[in-house]
Formats: sequence, C-alpha cells, structure tokens
Amino acid sequence: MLGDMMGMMGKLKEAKEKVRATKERMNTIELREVSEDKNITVTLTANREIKTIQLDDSLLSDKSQLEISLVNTLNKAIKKAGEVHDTELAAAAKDGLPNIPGMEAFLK
Amino acid sequence: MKRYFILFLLLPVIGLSQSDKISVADVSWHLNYEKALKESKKENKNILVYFTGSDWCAPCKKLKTDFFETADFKAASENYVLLYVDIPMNKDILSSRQLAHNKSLLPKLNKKSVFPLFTVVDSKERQLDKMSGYNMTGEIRYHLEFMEKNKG
Repeated sequence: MLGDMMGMMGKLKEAKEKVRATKERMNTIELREVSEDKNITVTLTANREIKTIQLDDSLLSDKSQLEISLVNTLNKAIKKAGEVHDTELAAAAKDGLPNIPGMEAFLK
Repeated sequence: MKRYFILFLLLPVIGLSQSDKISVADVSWHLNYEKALKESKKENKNILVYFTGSDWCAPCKKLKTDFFETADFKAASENYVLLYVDIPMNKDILSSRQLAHNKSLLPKLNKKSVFPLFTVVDSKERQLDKMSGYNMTGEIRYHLEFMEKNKG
C-alpha cells in the first residue's frame, strides 16, 4: 500500500515536470491568424503572448474599421492559441498517470 | 559470431547516421545543412529551411498534412533545395549527432527558436526571408506565396 502511494507520488512528480516543460515549450510554438479582409496578420505563441501585428496601410485611413478588425483577429488568434495550449497541457498532464477525475488540478 | 551479432545490432544506427535525406509526404528533404548548401550552389536554387518540433508542436503536425501533402507544395518545392530541421522532444526520434546538428542551426537561422518556422537561405548563406506560425485551418495560401516570393 505504501509502495503504491510512493509510486503514485513519483508519477505525479514526473507529470508535474512534464507540464512545466510543456508550458515552457509553448513559448516557442507560434500561431498565425489573418483577418477576413487579409489586412491584419497576427502571430502569437501557444501561451497567448502576441509576438507581431502586421497591418495593411489601407487600414490606417479607417480607424473604426481597424479597431473592429483588430479586435476580431486578436480574439480569433487568442482562442486558437488557447485551444492548442489546453490540448497540449492536458496531454502532458495525463501522460503516464491513471485517469482519475480532478487529477489535473494537482498539476497546475 | 559475436562480432557479426554486434555488427547486426549496429546496422540501423550506422544507416541512420549516414542517411542525409528524409522523405516527408513523398518529397525528399536534406537533413544536413552543408549538403543542402552544396546542392543549392550546384542547382542554383535557394534553400527552404523548415524548423519543426515533430512530436510536440501542434501547428507543425498540422502543416505536415495540410501543406506538405498537397500537390501545390510539391510543385512549389521544385524551385528549392529543402532542408528539414527537426528538434523533437523524444530523444529516440533522431540520433544524438543529428539532433546536435539541428540545434546548431538555431542561433544561425532561427535565433528566437520559434516553431514552425520557414526560412529561405541563398547559396551564399544569406538569410532572405522567414515566416513563422500556422493558423491550423488548412489555409496554406500564405505559405505558398512565401515560397513563390523567395524562389531563386
């Protein structure tokens, strides 16, 4: 029984280390989002840090359109990065651990 | 007999260490920078360098199916010498020598260590352009435009 517990603690520690490494690696994964009118390109990491925003010159003459497009494109980009982030973290957390509901909470 | 057995065990390792190309979706990529550079000079083509984390980078995995398997990519790749630079998490995927070679290209061609990254280098080792990221929706027009813009 004690051996089982020690084994489980070891696996939990290992999984925590995997989660930490995955979080770090996600700083290097980049996603690219382009607005529907193709005038804005945003790149951001899977950790949702915006890296670049490229704007077409045509947007500079229309402030309100720029604001709307920027918000939409950023939201889409952040949502996608969040999906990659959550999927990768969940995979790292579950790797090597038995499927116990709520276990992910211990790894955050 | 023992010697032959050891040789037999080492054969796959020897094969891997001498292999300098990889096939990704039926397109051949160089694995060695110097050899790609040599071919670039000989063929007078630019090098398309692709940095990937084949077992951990989700956009890189999507690019493989969404981009590399398309006829458009295959056609565009004819204008380039291709160099595949994988930095996997799993140490069993590459030989330690190949991994060291790939990592050595980071400070030279991918200073910020971002994945996926396409960069184009000419035969004189000048880095002409780069493009990082992928939106994971199958929209590959921007990658094709990048290849069209930077072909030699």
